[in-house]
Amino acid sequence: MTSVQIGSILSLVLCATVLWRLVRNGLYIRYPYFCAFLVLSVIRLILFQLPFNRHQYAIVWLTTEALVWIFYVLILLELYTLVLSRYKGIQSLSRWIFHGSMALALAVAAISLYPRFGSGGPNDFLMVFMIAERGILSALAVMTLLMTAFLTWFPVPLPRNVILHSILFAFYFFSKAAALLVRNMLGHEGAKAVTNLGILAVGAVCMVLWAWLLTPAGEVVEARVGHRWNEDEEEKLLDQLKSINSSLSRSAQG
Amino acid sequence: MSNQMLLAGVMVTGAVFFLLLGYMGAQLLSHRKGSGARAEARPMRLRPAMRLFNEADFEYLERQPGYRPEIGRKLRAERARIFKSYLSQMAREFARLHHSLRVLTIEAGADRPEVSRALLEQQMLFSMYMAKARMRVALFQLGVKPMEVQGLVEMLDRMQNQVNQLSKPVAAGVAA
Repeated sequence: MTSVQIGSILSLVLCATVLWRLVRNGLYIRYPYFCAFLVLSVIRLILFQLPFNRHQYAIVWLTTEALVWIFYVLILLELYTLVLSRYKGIQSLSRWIFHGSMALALAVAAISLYPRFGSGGPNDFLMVFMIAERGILSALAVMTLLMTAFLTWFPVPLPRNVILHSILFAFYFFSKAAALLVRNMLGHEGAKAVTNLGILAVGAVCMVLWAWLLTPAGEVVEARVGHRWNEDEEEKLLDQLKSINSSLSRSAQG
Repeated sequence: MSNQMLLAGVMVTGAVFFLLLGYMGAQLLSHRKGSGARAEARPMRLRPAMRLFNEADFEYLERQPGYRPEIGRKLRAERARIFKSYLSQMAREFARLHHSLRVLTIEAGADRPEVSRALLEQQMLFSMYMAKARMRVALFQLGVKPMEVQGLVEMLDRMQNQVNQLSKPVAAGVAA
């Protein structure tokens, strides 16, 4: 049995453990897409243990991997919907930041892909697929980082689970994108084996942390009594903000 | 690009990414421990800073017997250092009040797009302004360009008053 096969079996056990813990703790209601992603991961890891030939294996891998991409996006949407729906005061701004982050992340990912596609490019479908995967993962990593920065700046009190979930996903996306970049660029078989093992190891670490850290207690967020603004108060505050902004703008340009 | 350069690039980018992520994660976890709006006004005295870059002081010093250029340089450096501490104080005060306003905005019962946009714009403008002020102090210290400090200090003074005014609705919010 190869190290990658051992890693696959370990991943299968870990995925099933996380799924079992989420169901047992009732957290599957809060994170339905994440649970669906885990179900898909368990199914595909079981499928990979079957004795497929090379062609069948490629079809199963490509199909399920494309589904995994869709789930990555759905999980991020689920995460930030959970985060931002709580705070009505910044709903418009957070929507704007979410779309802006998405556009910026896609631009960064497109730039990161250019050296490969721009130089004559790969003609092997599998290679194109893996480069596209790297682009998607880079975009998701950048987007998670930007959204985390926004949530840090606008001091949003979040449940511990949401913070850890977001950090673990950013870590996973970036590590996988970096491993794929190294594999795409180095190309040789040795690099493929090492990066495959690296991806499995990162996945395993994340699964252990998800199983360990996502708890029902982590869903609790300290309630604060907010200050309800009246219209006069808001208008006065806006005037003051605009006045300071125009002073700052003059000074910064002058 | 050689393989070593590629690996080094990936490692550096990864290190920066993970450091940023770790820092922001720690910040987010600390928000949970509750750091609500903190808005008590702290009076600041920026007016004395106006005298720090008065060229007449340096001209007077140059006329004194036994004057050496390094004495002038030392005085410039010392005054620049004091002024930088004024700027840092201003930045801290701004950060404190701005944080309080952001807390109040996220806790507002309804969407406040104009206020949150104004706050975001204000943060960017203030950062630009501070960068410019620090650059001008550095130039003064090098003796490259005498600093026109009167306008700058008056601006800081005016802004301090405005920032203090901002604390009133925040303070009301805390009291409510």
